[in-house]
Amino acid sequence: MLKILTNGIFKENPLLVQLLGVCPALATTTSLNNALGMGAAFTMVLIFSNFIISLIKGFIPDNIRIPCYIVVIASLVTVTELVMHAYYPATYEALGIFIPLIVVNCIILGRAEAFASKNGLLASVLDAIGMGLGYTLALALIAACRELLGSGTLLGQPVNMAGLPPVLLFALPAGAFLTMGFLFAALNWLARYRRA
Amino acid sequence: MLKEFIRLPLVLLIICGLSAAIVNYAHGLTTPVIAERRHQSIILGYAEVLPDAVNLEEMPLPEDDMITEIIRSEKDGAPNGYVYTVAPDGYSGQILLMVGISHPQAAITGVKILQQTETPGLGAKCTEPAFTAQFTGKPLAKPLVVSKNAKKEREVQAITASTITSKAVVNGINAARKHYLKNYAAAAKGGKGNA
Amino acid sequence: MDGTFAILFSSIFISNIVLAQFLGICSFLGVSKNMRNAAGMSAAVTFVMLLSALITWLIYNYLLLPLALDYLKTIVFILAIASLVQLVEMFLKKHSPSLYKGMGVFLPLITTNCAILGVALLNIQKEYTLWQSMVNAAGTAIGYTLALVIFSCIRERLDPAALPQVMKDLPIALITASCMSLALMGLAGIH
Repeated sequence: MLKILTNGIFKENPLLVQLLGVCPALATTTSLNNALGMGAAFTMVLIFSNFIISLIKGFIPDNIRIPCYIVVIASLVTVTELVMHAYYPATYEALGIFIPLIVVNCIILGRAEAFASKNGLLASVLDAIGMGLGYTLALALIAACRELLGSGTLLGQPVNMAGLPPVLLFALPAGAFLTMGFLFAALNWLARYRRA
Repeated sequence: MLKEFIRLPLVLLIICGLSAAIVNYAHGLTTPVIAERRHQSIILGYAEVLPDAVNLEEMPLPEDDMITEIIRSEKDGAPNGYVYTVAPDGYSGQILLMVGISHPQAAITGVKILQQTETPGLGAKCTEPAFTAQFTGKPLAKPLVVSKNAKKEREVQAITASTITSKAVVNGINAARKHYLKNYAAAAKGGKGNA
Repeated sequence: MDGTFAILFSSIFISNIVLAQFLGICSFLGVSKNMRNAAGMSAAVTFVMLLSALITWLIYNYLLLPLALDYLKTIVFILAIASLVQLVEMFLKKHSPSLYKGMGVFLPLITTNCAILGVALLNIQKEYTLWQSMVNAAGTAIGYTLALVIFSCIRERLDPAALPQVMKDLPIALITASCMSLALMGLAGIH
């Protein structure tokens, strides 16, 4: 059971290993705050979608399963969007179009198809929590680098960088690609180091 | 075969129906909260940009798509200030901001950015007090101008590397200034205001 | 024709869908290893983007708004796009096998390409007219094609380059994208 949970965080991390959901990982990681908001919204949708799809899997005919999944996911995203608009307006404004775009995030449809449609309720929910956490952690990692280097703050709090001025580049779109490029290089290096 | 023909659409229909019901329920639940929040933030905005705001009344709008709302504040039977909501074009979309103007002193009492979609880390800094606080107390005798090294009273210090955003905010404020001087200051000062 | 050119220029360069707005990155990284695939994907995206922008705009303004159901737009749009992609695929298979061969394989991938849904939603968010929406969709598609084709050319050249092992493939691709994004920033002053 525990293995299902940790699977999503490390071995099959949706962003860092499976390379899914790259768009929000670049766009919403200008600050740690935004990244955590995005991660939370994403995890909520994933947990509910895995839960519901695991629940109704016996009821859905095989040849129309994809449209059914899309309807379920899109409804969950809309509900999440409305709730965020009502109770977390600042995060809602900051994330903008990337909340409705959770619909087309390949991870959610991928988990529905690959896991929830074949496994029981508890396992599906655990899988969703693991994947959600893994994605959120990956987002937070990128965002922490970008916020620290780009604006010299963390969660909006100024951090003493030994007198180094912030490098604006990291807050810009170009900085998103750059941070992620070096992150993947570091992961490659780590993987080689461990194998050797 | 015929059974499949009925079963497939039926299942799809049931799922769509259930989903619609849930979304509709959530919409009903959140709509009043969203409206209330928006209302609250606007009321708070008035008080923030015009600390003396009392007895608010909406004023007629000019035929100018930059100004979206004009509010008059009245104390002891005479107007003591105006709040303009303006929507200038920023770098990536419209910026919505409020400007408070004291009357008859004709000075800016505060600026608040309500909504913006500028580049994070660059233009988005226009919401920070470091940028907005400098407007408070500026007189409206002359139009404001953006400067990279502001010294004079009418000069506004631009946000680093975001001149377009800074100019947009200043354009919005200048539109409010022009309208104020033309319509309201003139009535109080006897036509002295030149826009 | 208010601001047609401004919308076009902005959607191609300044707010380039891939390099500035980060939409459609999955396909941007996925099919850019060689130029042929990049061109096929671009053609498919252009085609579907224009059609879906037209259809979603009509649905939103003539169906959802009058019924006060605008909060359902995400659900309705994704279903409309998914059905549209299916229809296009079936149509091409039957009537234009040559075109289908060129871009058919990419069509199923397009439903989950966030650039398509993204443009549909942005057109609504920015309250564009039908004409402006179509201009925006066309500009975005041109911007996507431009970014993807240039990127795939660079990647083809990078392939035989003597890079440190850890930088090969994905890391260097992302760093290349970073440089391209930075280059587009240079146009930001034009407004």
